[in-house]
Amino acid sequence: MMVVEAATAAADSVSPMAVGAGGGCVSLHNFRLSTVVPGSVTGEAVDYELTDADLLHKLHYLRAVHVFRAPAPGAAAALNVRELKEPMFPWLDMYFPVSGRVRRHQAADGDNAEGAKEDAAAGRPYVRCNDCGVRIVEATCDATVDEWLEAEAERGGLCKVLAYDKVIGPELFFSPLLYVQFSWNKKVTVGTNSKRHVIEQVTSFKCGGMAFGFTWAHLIGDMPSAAACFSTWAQLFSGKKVPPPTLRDPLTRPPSAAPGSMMLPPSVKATAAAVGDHWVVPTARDMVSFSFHVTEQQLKGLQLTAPASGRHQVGTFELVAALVWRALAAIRSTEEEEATRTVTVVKTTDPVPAPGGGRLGLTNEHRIGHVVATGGSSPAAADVAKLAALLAGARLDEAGAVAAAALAGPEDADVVVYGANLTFVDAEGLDVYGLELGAWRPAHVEYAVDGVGDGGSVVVHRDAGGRGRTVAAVVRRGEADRLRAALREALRVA
Amino acid sequence: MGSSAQLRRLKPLYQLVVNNILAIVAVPLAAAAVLKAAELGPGEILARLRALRPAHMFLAAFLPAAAAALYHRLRPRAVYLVDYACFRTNPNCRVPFATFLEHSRVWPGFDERSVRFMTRLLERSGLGEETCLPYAQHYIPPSRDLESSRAEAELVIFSAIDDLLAKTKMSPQDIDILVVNCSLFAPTPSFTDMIMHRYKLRKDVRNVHLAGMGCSAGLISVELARNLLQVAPWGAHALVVSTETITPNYYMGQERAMLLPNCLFRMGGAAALLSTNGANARFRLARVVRTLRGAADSAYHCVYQEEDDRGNVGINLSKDLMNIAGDALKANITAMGPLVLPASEQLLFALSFIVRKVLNNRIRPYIPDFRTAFEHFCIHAGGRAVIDELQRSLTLSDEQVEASRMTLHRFGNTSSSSLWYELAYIEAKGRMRRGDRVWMIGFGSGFKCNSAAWECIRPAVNADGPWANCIHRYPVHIPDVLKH
Repeated sequence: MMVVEAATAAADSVSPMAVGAGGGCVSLHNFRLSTVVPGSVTGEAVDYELTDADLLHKLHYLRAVHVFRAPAPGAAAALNVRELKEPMFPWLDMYFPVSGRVRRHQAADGDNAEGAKEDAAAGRPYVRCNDCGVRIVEATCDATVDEWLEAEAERGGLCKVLAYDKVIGPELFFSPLLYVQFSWNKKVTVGTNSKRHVIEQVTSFKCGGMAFGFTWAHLIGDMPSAAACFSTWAQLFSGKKVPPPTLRDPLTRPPSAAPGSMMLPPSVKATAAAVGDHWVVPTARDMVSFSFHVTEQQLKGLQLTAPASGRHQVGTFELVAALVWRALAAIRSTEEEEATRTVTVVKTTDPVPAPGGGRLGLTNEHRIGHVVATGGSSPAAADVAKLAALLAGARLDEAGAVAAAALAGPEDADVVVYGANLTFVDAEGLDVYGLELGAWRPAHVEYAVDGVGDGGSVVVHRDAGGRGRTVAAVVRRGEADRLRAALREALRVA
Repeated sequence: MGSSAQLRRLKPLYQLVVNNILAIVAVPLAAAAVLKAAELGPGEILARLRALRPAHMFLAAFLPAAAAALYHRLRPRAVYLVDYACFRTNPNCRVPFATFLEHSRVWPGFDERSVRFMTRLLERSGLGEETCLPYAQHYIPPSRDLESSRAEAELVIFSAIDDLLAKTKMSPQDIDILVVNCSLFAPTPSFTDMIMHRYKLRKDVRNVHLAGMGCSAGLISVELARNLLQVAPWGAHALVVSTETITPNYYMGQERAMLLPNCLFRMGGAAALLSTNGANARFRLARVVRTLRGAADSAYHCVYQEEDDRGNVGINLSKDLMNIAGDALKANITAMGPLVLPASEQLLFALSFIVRKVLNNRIRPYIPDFRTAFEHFCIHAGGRAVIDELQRSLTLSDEQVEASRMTLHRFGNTSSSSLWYELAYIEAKGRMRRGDRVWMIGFGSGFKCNSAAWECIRPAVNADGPWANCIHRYPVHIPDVLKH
C-alpha cells in the first residue's frame, strides 16, 4: 500500500490544478514537495497522548489561507521559500507534536516499564514525536493577487486550491499532520533554443504576490491553537523572540473524562461504518468550498434587525449564521426539513495568552453544542432574528465532555462533528489578519474547516477591516451558487 | 594461563629493554671508554693526540660533518599541519530517521522491498538523528541538478575554509598550493578554480583537483600536498580541502547493493593547512603510507559505479567488501608497521613470523600492538561494519574506536573528511596531549587503504569546531537496532 502524495503532486505538475469555470481560472502548477523538521532531536520514543477531545475531531481538518500582496518595491525584499522555512526549525522545536506521526497502541505494548500504558486501549491512536516533520508544498500560480481577489469576490471558494488537500491515511505511519503550501505568482514562458529543445524560463515576477495556506489535522489542536501556532512562526520570521508554548507533558496520560450517558449528543453523529486508517468523513455527496463577504454596511443593516433585548445577547455571529441557516434550509429539499432543524454550534474560546495557567499550546478546548428549531415553520421560513436568538441560546459543552459522551460507545466508533448537522463555527475572536511576515501584510485571509460531513460547515470570522465578516463554508455541490444568490438577496433587502 | 600472565607482566620490561637498546649498549661502552681514559691519564692522551697526522685529523672532522650536511639536504622536509577546520552542519539540513524513511516510502520510485531494506539498514547503521543532507535532498523526489550540487559544494567548502582562515589568521594571499578532493562531482571549472575565484588567490598558486579517488582521497591529497611542499620554497602553505558532494549522487533505482550509499552518505567537508614551517603548527606529519589493491579483480570491482538495469546510476558495493577491506588493511599495516612500531613490537612480530614459517603454521600470528605506536586512532567512519571489522583486526578497545563510532553517529559517513571530524572529536574531548601520535586510516574505492601518522605538537585550546554544541552529549550508547 503506497502513499502516493508525491505521485499526485508529480501528476499535478504536469496537468495544472484549475479551479473555477469560465474565463480567468486560477490554476496552480509546478508542485514541489519538501519536508521541514524540528531543529533539535526531540528524544527517543517520545509519545504524545491524544485526549478524547482530540480524537473526537480526527476526521476533520482546518484549512487556512493567507494571501499577501507584494509590498511596494523597495519596502521589503521578496520572500523566498528558504527564508520562510528557516524559522520553522526552531518553531517546530516548540511545537514538536505537530511534526510527529499518528500510531495506534499495540495490544501488548512492549515498552511499559511501570505498566503505565497498559490501560491504553489497544488500537487507540497517539502521536509518536519522531521529528518526521511537516510537509511544505511550493506551487506556481498564474493569476496575480489582484486577479485572484477579483475572482474570489465574484465567485468565492477559491481558497481551497491554495492549501494542499490531503488527509491522514491510509498509512497512518507516513501521514503528516500539517501541510503548508506556498503559492507564488510567477510568469512562466516557454521558449525554444536553436537546437529545438524546449526550455522553461521564468521571465519576471508578474506581481510578486504570495499565498500561504495550511491544512492542519484538527486532532492536534483547534482553531485558536492553529492560529497561535502560526502566529508564533510569523513572529520568529520577523525576528522577534517568542516564549515557547506550554504543551501537554508527553509523559503524563491525560485524564479520561468520566463516561456520561451512552447516547451520542445530537451535535455529533457516528459514521455508518468504521473508517479504519483512512481518516476521511464518508459523505454521500460531493462537498465544495464556498466563501462570502459580508461588508460592514450589510452587517450594520443586519444588526438593526436583531432583537433589542432577549435572554441571550445576539451578536454578529448569530445574525450571520442565522442568515446562512435560513438560506440553506430553503435550498435543501423538503425531505431534509427535519435534519435542517438541528444545527451544531461551535464556539472557539478566545485565545487570551495568560502569563500563568493559560491555554495549552496544542489543545482541543472549544465548545460544542446544538440548537433545534422547534415550532411549526421550518427554518427556511423563520425570521432571521428568531433563528439568531435560538443560536445565541445554544447550550454549549466543553469538547472534552462531548467526547466522553460520544466515545463511550464501541471502541471503533468514529464520530463526525463538523457536518454531522449543518455546523456553524464562531471564530470572531481570532485575530486572523494579525499574521504578518516582516513587512508583508495579508490582503485576504480565510479560515475554514474541511473534511466535513453532508451537513456542511460554516465558519464566520472577521474580515480585513475587522468590521465586516467573512463566511468560509463547505457545502454540497450545487448549493454554492444558490446560496450566494440567496445571501446577496437577503443582504440587499436587509 | 599462569605463564601468559607472567609473560604479560614481563612485557613492559622487555619493551623498555628493546626500545632503548642503543642506550643500553652505549652506556656500558661509554663507561668503559671513560675508565680506559682515566687509566691512561690526561698526559698520555694528549701525547697520543699530538701523534696523529693533521690530514687524518682533518678528515676525521670533515668527513662526518660532510656526511651530516648531505644527509640533511637529502632528507625530505618535515611537513606540519598548521590547523584544520571541519564544516559545521546546520540544524536546517538535519534528517531524522523517520523523515528519511517517509521520503523513501512516499516517492513511488522505490518499491516496498527497497524501502524495507533501507529501513533495516538504517536501524542497524549506527547513524544518529542529527546527520545532515543537502537542501536539495529534502525534496520529494530529491533534485540532483547541477545548480543545487554546486550550491552544496560551495556551502561546505567555503564555510570550512572561512573557519580555517579565521583560526590560523591567514590571508588567502598566503596560500601557495591548493589541493581539493571530491570524488563524485567534478564540474568545470573545478573546485580549485571556484576557490580561487571566491578568495582571490594569487596567480601562481599550484592547484590540483582530485576526482574519482574515493573515500580515501583525503590522505591522498595530504600526501600530494606534502610532495608539492618539498619543491616549493621553504615555509610555503598548502591548503587541502576534502569533501564529497551528495546532491548529484542520490540513487533512484531499486538495486539493494546500490541503495547503501543513499542511507549512509551525509554532508560534510574539511579544510586543512599544511606547511613546512613548523612555527605555530599543531601537528607534524610523520608518515603517509598508501596501499593499492586494484590489480586484483575482486578488489577492483568492490566499489563500482555503474548503471542498473533501468539505467539509474549508482555505486555498487559488493558483498565481499569487508573481506577486501580486511586484506587491504593487512597489506597497509605490513607496510606501515616497520615505519612506526617500536623495535620491541617489530622484533616480536619478526620472531612470530619466523616461527610460523619454520615450525608450525597453526600458531596464531602475532598481531603487533599498535597502541605502542599510537595514542589515538581515526578510522574512516565508512559504516558500522567497517569499524567493527577494524576494531577486531587491530584488537582495539572501545575507547580507541569511540571517535569513529561517534562521528558516524553524529555526522554519518562524510567520505574523505570523516577522518578530520574524528580528530576534531578527540580534541573536543580534551584527550589530545603534546607528543601524542595519531593514526588516520582511510578506505576507498579501488580498493585503496591509506594511512597517515601524525604527532601532536600543540593540542586545541577549546572544543570550538563541528562538535562545539553537542560534545557534552557524547559519547552516546548506540543501540544495535534503532528504535523508531
